[in-house]
Amino acid sequence: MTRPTLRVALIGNPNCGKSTLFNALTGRRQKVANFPGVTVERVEGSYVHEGTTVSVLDLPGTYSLSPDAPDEVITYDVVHDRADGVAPVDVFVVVLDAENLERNLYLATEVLELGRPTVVVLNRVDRLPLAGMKVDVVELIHALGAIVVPTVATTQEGVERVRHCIARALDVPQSQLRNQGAVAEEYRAERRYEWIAAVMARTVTREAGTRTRPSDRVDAVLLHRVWGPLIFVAVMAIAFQALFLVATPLATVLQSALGSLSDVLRGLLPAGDFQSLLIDGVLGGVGSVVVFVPQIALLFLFIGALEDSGYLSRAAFVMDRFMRPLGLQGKSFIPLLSGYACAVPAIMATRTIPQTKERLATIMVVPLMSCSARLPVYALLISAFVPAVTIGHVITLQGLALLAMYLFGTVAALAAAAVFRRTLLRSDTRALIIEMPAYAKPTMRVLLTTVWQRVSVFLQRAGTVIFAISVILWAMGRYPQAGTPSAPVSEEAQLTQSALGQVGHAVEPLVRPLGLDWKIGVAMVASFAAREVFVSTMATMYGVPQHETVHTELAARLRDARAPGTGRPTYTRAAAFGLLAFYVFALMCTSTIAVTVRETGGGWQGARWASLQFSYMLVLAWGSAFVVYRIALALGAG
Amino acid sequence: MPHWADRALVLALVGGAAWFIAHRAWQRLASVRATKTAGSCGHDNCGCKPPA
Repeated sequence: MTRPTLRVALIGNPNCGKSTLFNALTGRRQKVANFPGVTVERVEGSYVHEGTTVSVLDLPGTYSLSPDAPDEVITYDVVHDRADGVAPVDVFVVVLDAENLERNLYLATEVLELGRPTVVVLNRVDRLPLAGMKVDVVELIHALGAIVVPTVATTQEGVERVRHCIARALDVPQSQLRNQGAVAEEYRAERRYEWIAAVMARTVTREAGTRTRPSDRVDAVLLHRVWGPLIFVAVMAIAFQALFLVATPLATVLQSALGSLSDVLRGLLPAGDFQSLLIDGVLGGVGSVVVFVPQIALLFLFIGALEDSGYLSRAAFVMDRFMRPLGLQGKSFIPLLSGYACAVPAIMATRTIPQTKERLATIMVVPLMSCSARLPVYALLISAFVPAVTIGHVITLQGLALLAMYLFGTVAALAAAAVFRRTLLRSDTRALIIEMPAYAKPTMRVLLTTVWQRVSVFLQRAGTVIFAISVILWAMGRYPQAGTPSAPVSEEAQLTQSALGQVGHAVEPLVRPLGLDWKIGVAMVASFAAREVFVSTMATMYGVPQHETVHTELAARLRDARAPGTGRPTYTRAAAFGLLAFYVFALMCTSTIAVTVRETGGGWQGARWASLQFSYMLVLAWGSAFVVYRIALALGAG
Repeated sequence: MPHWADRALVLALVGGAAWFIAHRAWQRLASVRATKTAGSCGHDNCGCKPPA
């Protein structure tokens, strides 16, 4: 008899390849990476096999069915049919990492003891020869009393057989593990390990001699007390330099395309408000953000390569030493590093941290890590106010300035965490236990998928939120109209008398101490919805014409802006540095605020944590901007 | 293009944008309100007890 839908759940240790198998089974593009804790919530997909729809749940990795961290609780609830909104599972698929079989078998025995239909997948069998291991699959089948399918999920090898076995799992006798005396006292970990050791002895053979694996030799350098941190800093420096050097020519191509588009619009539409709205408002606003797509894509390509290579766990281990005195452990480092890309998934990634107070402290400081939305603001201000000088034929001053922004954010995040852990969120710090995944060559297909997903999210924001804000800002800058068609006034006079000008003048007292004028004040207010809006607002306000060098043009206009009357620069270098400091620290992202509310308990409790996060970051941002401005002035950067 | 048509197009686009922003803000607020304060989420701080 065929069932209308077969419900399957993938269970396994962190980083054993569950999500890769999930993608291989369902054809979906769930995020995968080579470090533990990528999947922190249940994800569902489906496929059709022999006329039956098979619904597959990808669950967060767990080492046992005794949950510790919030992501492990999700798996526990599904296994015990107590998860909200999830129908009972028909077949469990336990994914084992062949290279780490002994540790992986612990969870497998726990699941098999439930006595429910189970398929065991022995994944990554391609790595066994390199590790000098052989697994006797037939013996393993006998030992576990369950179907065992060897696979290499990354190359789809054995995946069709997994589909076949899932379809048959209901018809074969279930594992009798529960009834075997060896593991009768199922909650005694010691007995379980003894049983697993016996199974390992029967099923696994290792090559004689303990030769050093290539990964051990690499680890000896990357995890070295001195070389480890130095290599980490060097890797980051190269990445940020590449962001500036490689992405700029690509951005120029995009700018040129936008310029052509505006010329076409100008030819098609008669002069008037609607033409201005489309060209100055929409193209000027959205376009000024879209030109950053190459930089954003490169940033994600770089982070993806780090994740896939297996280096991320090493980086967490290297950083653990520096994070411990601050009250955090290496596990907090992965969410913090993910914060370079986007704070939203980074805050979700804190679910792998079992200790509530460490997790909360990490959530509170993650938005201080410079996310990709800050990149447009940094790039604009740096290219306007930092000279493009090359130092020692290797690195440009602009590249260094960009690296400095990321370093400031990181240092601030660590310092803020130390303060939280010594005040509101005081508790002991647990020792770091993190798995070192095998090194792997990043898969180009996976990398490009990740990059495309992130870029499309960025473009979606540009096409929706930034589009809408640009339209509103254009209208606020255009109305009420100061002149008449017969007696037009200058752009400056129009902007001053417009609704936007009035808002700007209202907030000017707040930004004047930072050496900034009302126009920047408007852009800062507008960017509380999303940081990148700063750039589009400035482009709209300065009426930057859409041609090949729209972005360079805006940077030049900021640099050359003169205060009416005095003729002195409107924006000094000191003020620009202060403004950069403001953007390093300010929390300007409604998505981040929403996810903080959800992940800190939701409702009013979550809202309280989110308010605290927003407020302390705003105070820090304004204070730092003021201090940086004053110091830079004193050093002669006025 | 007649003046009134120019104005109408601007009004439609600006009105649409304003509605979109208001709608998004409302959705955000509603999702925050809807988040439950206790449940099997595993946080000590939200009142639920993770299974032993």
